[in-house]
Amino acid sequence: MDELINNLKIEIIEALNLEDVKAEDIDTEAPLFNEGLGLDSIDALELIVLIEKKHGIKIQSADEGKQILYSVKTIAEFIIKNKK
Amino acid sequence: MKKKVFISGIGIISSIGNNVIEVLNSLIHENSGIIYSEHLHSVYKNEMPVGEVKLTDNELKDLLKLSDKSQNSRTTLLGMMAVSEAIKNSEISDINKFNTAFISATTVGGMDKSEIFYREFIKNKTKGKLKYICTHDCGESTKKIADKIKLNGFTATISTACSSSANSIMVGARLIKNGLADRVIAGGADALSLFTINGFNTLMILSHKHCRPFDETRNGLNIGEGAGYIVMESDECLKKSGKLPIAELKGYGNACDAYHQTASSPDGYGAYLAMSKAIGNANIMPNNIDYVNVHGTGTPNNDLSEGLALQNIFNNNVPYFSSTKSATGHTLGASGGIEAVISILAIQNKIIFPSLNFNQQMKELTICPTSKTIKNVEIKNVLSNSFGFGGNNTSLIFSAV
Amino acid sequence: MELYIKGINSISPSENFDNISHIPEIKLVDEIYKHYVCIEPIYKEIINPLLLRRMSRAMKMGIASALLCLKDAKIEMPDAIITATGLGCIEDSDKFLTLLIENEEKMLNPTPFIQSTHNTISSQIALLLKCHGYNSTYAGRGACFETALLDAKMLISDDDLQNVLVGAYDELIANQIRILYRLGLFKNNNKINDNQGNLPGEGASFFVVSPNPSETNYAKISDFEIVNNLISAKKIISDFLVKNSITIGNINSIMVGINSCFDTHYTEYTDLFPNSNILWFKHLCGEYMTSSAFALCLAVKCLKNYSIPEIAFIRKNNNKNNNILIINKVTNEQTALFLLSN
Repeated sequence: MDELINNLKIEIIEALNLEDVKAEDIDTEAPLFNEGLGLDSIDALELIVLIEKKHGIKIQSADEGKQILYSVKTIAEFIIKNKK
Repeated sequence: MKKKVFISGIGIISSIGNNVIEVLNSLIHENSGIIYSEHLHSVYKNEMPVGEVKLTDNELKDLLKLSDKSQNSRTTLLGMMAVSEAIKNSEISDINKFNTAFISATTVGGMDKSEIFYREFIKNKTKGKLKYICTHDCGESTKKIADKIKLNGFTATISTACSSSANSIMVGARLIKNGLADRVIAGGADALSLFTINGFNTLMILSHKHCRPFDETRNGLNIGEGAGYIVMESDECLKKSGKLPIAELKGYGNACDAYHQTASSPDGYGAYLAMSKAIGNANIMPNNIDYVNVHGTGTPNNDLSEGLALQNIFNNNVPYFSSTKSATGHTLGASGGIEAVISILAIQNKIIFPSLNFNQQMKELTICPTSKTIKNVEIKNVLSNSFGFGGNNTSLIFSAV
Repeated sequence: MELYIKGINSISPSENFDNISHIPEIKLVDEIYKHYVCIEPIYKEIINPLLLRRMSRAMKMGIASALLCLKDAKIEMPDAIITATGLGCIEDSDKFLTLLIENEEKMLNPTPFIQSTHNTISSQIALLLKCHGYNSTYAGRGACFETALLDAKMLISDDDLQNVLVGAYDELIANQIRILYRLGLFKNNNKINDNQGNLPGEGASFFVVSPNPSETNYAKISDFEIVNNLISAKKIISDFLVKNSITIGNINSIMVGINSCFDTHYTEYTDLFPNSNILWFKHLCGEYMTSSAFALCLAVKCLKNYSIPEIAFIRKNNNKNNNILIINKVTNEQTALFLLSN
């Protein structure tokens, strides 16, 4: 889980071009959107693509995505739960 | 005293008909043009229904008397169809007799041909037939259509996403008001392309079923294709040719939502501004509007935002409204032109065209779209909304004469 | 109606826009295809870094140029925003198209699609400023920048607007350079002197235009027009000058859209002005669909500074610098004219 979380942080930084952010700056349990990293709905769509590409799991709708993408931790939990 | 702007002709092609008569019949009979694609070969062709024009490129070329070998994007072919019809409908015999301008709108332009080119090109940069990439820029279809109708006058191309052709009609009207043109053909065309289908798919706003504008269960839009153009003329120009106008373009309003790159603001402020500017520009009151042809894409976000703006502007006394995108699909850059034609048809035929697939009122709203055809309605003023990505919102008001 | 230029900005391949002294450095794609590249500012100092992270080069150039222009005009909120672009955000279009073919329509990123629409920059400027005013974008070949300016002029007169932000942008990407050379629009010939404008170029130029005269304005656009080339050059010029009550002899300089010293497309025009200076600009910005916005920026700068950089002259005939007439063939069919004065 820890390794997955760390990898996810690196993947997020790369996919969203968060140049000045380091993996250790991202709080695993803090909300990614709005206040947290200041991400928006376009980032959410990018993260949905990222999860499918890197982890092979498809999120069906933006609505479903909302809960999954709440924090790095929720994403990691979703991936572990759905990994075949 | 600014000049008035009259409409003397209309032309349309869409998934519900290849000309004005066919489109009118489909609208009256509540026919939808949304199907699984026959001509566009996307991997999603059996998943996402689209509003496809029921003619191949070669069939369009035949109707336009163009050689099979002529290089025209589908956008250009659709544009030529609707523009030719509008000119005929307006009974124009000599296109250059008056100072005539052509303002056209598109978002994809020749993307269908660029897709063919890129398949070879990305594998080997020295490959790919160059004739396919020459149609890429948005001005290409404008030029080809202008050449087809042998126009010498001013031309311009507008590209503001899904409000593109509403803006081209607005700019055309302002050219006439400012005495810079006597007559303007304005509207827009957009063809289906893998680019837009996949683009909207990445936004997760395409419905896998028929779209359901303003319905509580709506879950996205259906992309369509087509073209819609109108001929606008000054009063003097009409008098000189002894023609009677079919409608008047009474008002227009353009405003920016300035909220988000793709989403509309939750309160629909930009939509409210565009509608209120148009009503002010027409010098009428909101209660003079008899019918609103809404933008109504069927996405959760648009319909909520637009619905709240409607309740706001009409002070909860909202007139008949419907989204004809439920029949035609969302024709992107062409939608403003197509819905301009449909708004004029509503006035001419005294009919409110319905929103298809509506069942359940949205819980956030107190209003429902008109879901059945209503005949014999005296329609004086129609408000037509077109809202685009980036909050580029435009409203037009068409009036009876 | 006359328009006054209150503020300008140009991001172009030329260094030191205040007094350009040499032609831009020539870059290569695939080691053979020559082209110009913009000298770009440090964007972090101009645009919020959080927004910057997903912007393409066209967006950065266009938005930065617009913001710097507003600053130059000392305007915080324009009444309207109108942009023009030949090919729009071509990098994003290229990216999405490539991705969609390579990935066979699966797992595509939304950002390049969202940003591929031509109105991306005008709406992003509005978003950054929270500007709810009129917003539009003209696209494609032809006189799209001139039409944007015409729209601004109509808006100012129809709606009494005071400050309209008008600009144009086009970026150059490697694939496009390859295609342009393959189309034969540019020649890959080493024998031809490098000091020529016939190279693919790019740039973003913005203006704040206003109906109000002021000491601090850059220049006045006395008139501009987009005319059809069916009419002879002589008649185009005489009609335009008569309309503006000025004679050929009183035009100090003309700036023409030739793209090399050997370009003969404008001799029918240059021959009409035996006593005027002849200036050019495409060797400083390259050839692109909205290069006339660069020309306008260069010309108003010359008028404001009362000096024309040596490098802009093709022929020097006088030392007067009270007006410049820009003559630019935007397509085979259309010529755009701008009459500017200080």
